[in-house]
This record gives sequence, structure tokens and C-alpha cells, in this order.
Amino acid sequence: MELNSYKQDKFFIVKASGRMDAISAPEFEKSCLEWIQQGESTLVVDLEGLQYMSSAGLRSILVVGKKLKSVGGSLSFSSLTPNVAHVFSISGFGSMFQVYDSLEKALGNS
Amino acid sequence: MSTLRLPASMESFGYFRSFVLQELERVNGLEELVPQVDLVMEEVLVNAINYAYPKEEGKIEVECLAEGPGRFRVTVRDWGVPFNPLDQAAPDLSMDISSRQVGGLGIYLVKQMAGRLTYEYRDGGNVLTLWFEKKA
Repeated sequence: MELNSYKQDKFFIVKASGRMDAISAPEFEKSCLEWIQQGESTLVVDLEGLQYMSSAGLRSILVVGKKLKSVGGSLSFSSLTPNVAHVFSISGFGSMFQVYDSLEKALGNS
Repeated sequence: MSTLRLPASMESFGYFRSFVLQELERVNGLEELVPQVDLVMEEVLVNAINYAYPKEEGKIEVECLAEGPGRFRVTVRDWGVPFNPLDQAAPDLSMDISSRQVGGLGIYLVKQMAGRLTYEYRDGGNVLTLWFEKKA
């Protein structure tokens, strides 16, 4: 998995690509918790380049989401690929988090 | 039928994954099953790696079989702590983020994504058999 991040206005955008699995998910979780620690509280995770997510990825997302909730922040997602959208859907994450068709829409609506 | 037996450790995970996906690729016409087989195998293997042998070293065995047209079978065995994934309660998907429990989703994804699965404790080991079927 590759992570690229940048700040745009109030948003902190994280682009994750590749695979978020049992091996790489802890890296996503650790990075996000560090950004939150540094004061970022409006995270938008763009998954356009992410082809695969397992329960390890969901678990890390939930940890990050809980942390953001506890500091009054928000976590949203954009551009899910079909496989990732399917995993979001059957796990209930699609209704627990804000999910947008595109990054532009996420930045316009969050 | 092909079989791979390796130590129950995360170092083995990539080998198991490649083995199963290669066996699946050898069967013509089952490409559409790759995403679900990939995900289900990670969930099942990581679970066995993390929990089957809490005290001692042990092995995991994976067996693949193209079972007639459009059907692929994978059997995962370990000889550790008895664990029936079919007994696990489904997570409550309606909870909001504050109350939602971390974990418990892996087995749920397996149940949703494998076409069929059976569990038995046989000859001192856990035997989980999963069937993946091409949509008609």
C-alpha cells in the first residue's frame, strides 16, 4: 500500500493505493493517528487507487474513526473501487461513514 | 489437487496467498472469483496464524481443488486450538461508530463471501472447507 497525504483548506487528504490488508493496514492506522496527534481533524481518505481491503483495513479505519470522533473530527471516504465498495457495503461501513463518489464531492460536502 | 503446508506465521502468509491464487488461475474461466478468494483466504489464514497456536509452533495446510466446472474448493487445516468459525455471532452492523466493536468482521466477511463453508474438528485438527462458485 502507498499513502500520499496533503492539506487543502481545512481538509487533510490521504490517498491510499494498492492493498490494505493484514500487513499494510497497521501502517495506515499508525500514520492517521500521527496526523490526528499533530492536530488534523477533518480527514478525507481517497481510495481511487485502492484495489483491495480486508477486515484488517476495516479494523484500522474503525480505530481511526473512533479517535476522530473522540476529538470532534470527521472521517470520510471517496472514490471507492468496486471491490472495496463491496466490502464497505456488507460490513455496514458504507452507512457508518460518509462515502462520496469523488474527492471533489467529498471536499464540497464535508 | 495441490497441497501446501507451512509454519503458522505471517511469513507464510504471502506464500499461501500466491499458492491459492495460482491454483485458481490454472482453472479456466474462474477469473471472476479472484477478489473473493483473495479476501476470504486472508481472513481465514490470518485468523489461524494469530489464534490456532497460542503457546507452541504449529503448521497450517492449504489444499486446493478445481471441483467440476465453475467451482473451486479450498480446505484449510490446523492442529491447534479447536475453533469453529460458524459458531461466531455476527457483529451488529447497525451500531454507530462509538459503540461499534473493533474486530469480529473477518469471519463475517468470510461467511458473506464464500459460496459455502463447512467446519469439522477431525483427527485432532480444525478442518475448514470453503467452496467458491462462479455465478451461473
